[in-house]
Amino acid sequence: MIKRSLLALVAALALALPSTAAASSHIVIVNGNVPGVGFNDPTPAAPVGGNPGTTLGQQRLLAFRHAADIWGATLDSAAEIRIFATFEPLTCTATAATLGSAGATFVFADFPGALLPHTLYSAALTGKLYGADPLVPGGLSGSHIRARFNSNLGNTDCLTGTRFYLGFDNNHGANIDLVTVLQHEFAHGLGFQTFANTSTGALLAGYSDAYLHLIADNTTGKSWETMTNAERAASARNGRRVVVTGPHVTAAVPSNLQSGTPLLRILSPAGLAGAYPVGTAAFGAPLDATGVFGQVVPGLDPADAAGPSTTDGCSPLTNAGAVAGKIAMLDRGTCGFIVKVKNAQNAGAVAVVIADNAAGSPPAGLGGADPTITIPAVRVTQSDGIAIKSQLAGGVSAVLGLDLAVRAGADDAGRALIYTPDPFVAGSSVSHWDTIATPNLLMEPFINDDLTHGLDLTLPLLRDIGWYPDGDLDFVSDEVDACPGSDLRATIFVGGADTGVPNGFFVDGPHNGCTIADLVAGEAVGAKNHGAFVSGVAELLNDLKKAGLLTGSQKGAVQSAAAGASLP
Amino acid sequence: MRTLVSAVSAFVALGIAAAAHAQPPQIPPGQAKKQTAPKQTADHGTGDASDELTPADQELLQRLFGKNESGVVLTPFANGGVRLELDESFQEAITVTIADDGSLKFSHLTGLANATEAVKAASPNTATTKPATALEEK
Repeated sequence: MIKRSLLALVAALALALPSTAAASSHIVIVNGNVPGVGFNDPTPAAPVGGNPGTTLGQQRLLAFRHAADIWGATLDSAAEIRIFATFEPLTCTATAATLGSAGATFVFADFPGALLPHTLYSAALTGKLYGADPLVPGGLSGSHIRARFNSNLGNTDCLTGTRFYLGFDNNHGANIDLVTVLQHEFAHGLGFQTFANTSTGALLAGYSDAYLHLIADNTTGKSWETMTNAERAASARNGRRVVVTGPHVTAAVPSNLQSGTPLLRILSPAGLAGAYPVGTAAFGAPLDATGVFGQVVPGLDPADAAGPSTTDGCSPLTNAGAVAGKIAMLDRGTCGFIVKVKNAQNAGAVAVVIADNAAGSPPAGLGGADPTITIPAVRVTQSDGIAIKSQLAGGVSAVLGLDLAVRAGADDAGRALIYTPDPFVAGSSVSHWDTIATPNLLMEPFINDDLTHGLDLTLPLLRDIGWYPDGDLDFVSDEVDACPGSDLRATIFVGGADTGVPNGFFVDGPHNGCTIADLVAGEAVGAKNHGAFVSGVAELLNDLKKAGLLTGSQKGAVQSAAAGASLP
Repeated sequence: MRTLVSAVSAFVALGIAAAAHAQPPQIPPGQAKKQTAPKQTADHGTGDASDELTPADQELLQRLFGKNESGVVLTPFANGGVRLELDESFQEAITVTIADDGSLKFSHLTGLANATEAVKAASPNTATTKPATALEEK
């Protein structure tokens, strides 16, 4: 009885599903400029870098479309995505300019199809998960993403001479590649952003969001969703210790980030053991994969005119016997880094760790130049330094080097780091990848020259927040869809003939994502001849009838169509 | 017996999410929307370290320049869903500064208004124009 009612429901709902297996999504650029300006600027322009536009306005619009098409080709959605865009004069001076801005216009939660409860999704992602446009087309309020860019860039007194490069080939030279900037900004609008207040930790209207759902802090071991506001605010300043936990991102880390991260790895005592971020030095021996192993010992020097502390290393060390052959630990302050490191080297240290004397993370590098320094040196944060120094009396052993087991931009567990520096950087913190990522990533807070219009770890992150691949738009991810090209028509077609029998859909088990029509068509695959196909269909239909998914007359109608079809 | 029958319990209606289609969370035509003006704040750069500002000052400024949560318009729907309309302060803005060495330094800020303030504040005397690669030497 229940099974029959399900089948009846199938007939009603099938009509609402898209009837074609259309992958990708349709991203529309809504030209918000009035005639004569912005996208409608009639200034003649020579085609450049594959952009065939012959006016400045055309080239701008085509560049927007090109960037939108890159995303559209990779994201599957039945709902159109509209970007309301304008080129307009934005603030600039001769040496600084606002390039533009973009972001979601609306966010939704608790709609049918939402993957998580009480969680905000960008309007564009809502359309994908919901299966229909959540907005009424027309004007700004009917668009999912708003984008505005600076029409004056490159003009006198507006970053004079430095313009948007409008070609598609990334050959931007000293100019700013618009397609890259658009790819970045569109990604924010598609959902690569948290809507929480990352300065205070407060959730927007008390809702989590799909991006925030993926964030976790390695220090506390907590996900951002389970944190208090204060904990989130603190985590947003916990440099190089906040990660994205999404499985698609983690799986993509090895193919997007190179091996090797400079680390101080404490081996003992157990309570201190772990990987500590370091800032590397511009002088001395670079860190290598072999690493420097040794006990970490405090470097002691007189409190004198050169430095008021006995741990600042500003004077020749007085405990050379203890330091020789070890990793010396010193405090930042008073004298230059090269003075400290040279004093430790003279005392026989094999490496130097300098504990910062000011709050902040991740640890910055060490500047200075002294070709006579031959040992490696690094900086650790003030808080890490305090933790390490508190254990020195009991003995601390460590390896300082380039850890090839850790990807540049990922943590020990291979999870991608997000940008959480201390001090907090409004607009950049949390909603970007960490800047240590190598090679550079599209969603770092800076637009780096070596970006290639690729989607690197950004696409996997969008997958993790809900942009799962779904070529047939049946709401079953292609990754688990047994029939990724389903025939979703409302009734079962066999060999082009409409049987009039309601189609049905499996959402679990071995036929997850398949329709009855798919299974019937599947019988033709590999069948030796028409007779074998008809026989296979008969067996299938018997099973469906036994299961209560087809009536006797429905079974007969499909069987008859199979017999009359020219299959295989 | 085919595996099909054992999977019958998982056989459900075509397009679970499609059930929602009957009542899309659309904006009712003609619905009046409340608008709140973006916050206007004093002219200070944000997002970049400044020699003149203490970390506490920077924190305060960044908080002032944050998202305008109070301006968000929340609309509930009969099906339990909600829609939040975000103003310009939620946009991700990007600015660029030409550094002393000629390189371009990009910064992200929350909201176009903040980007505007940051650009106005940027001058050869602020950190925004220092080479990004400069390292402290002590």
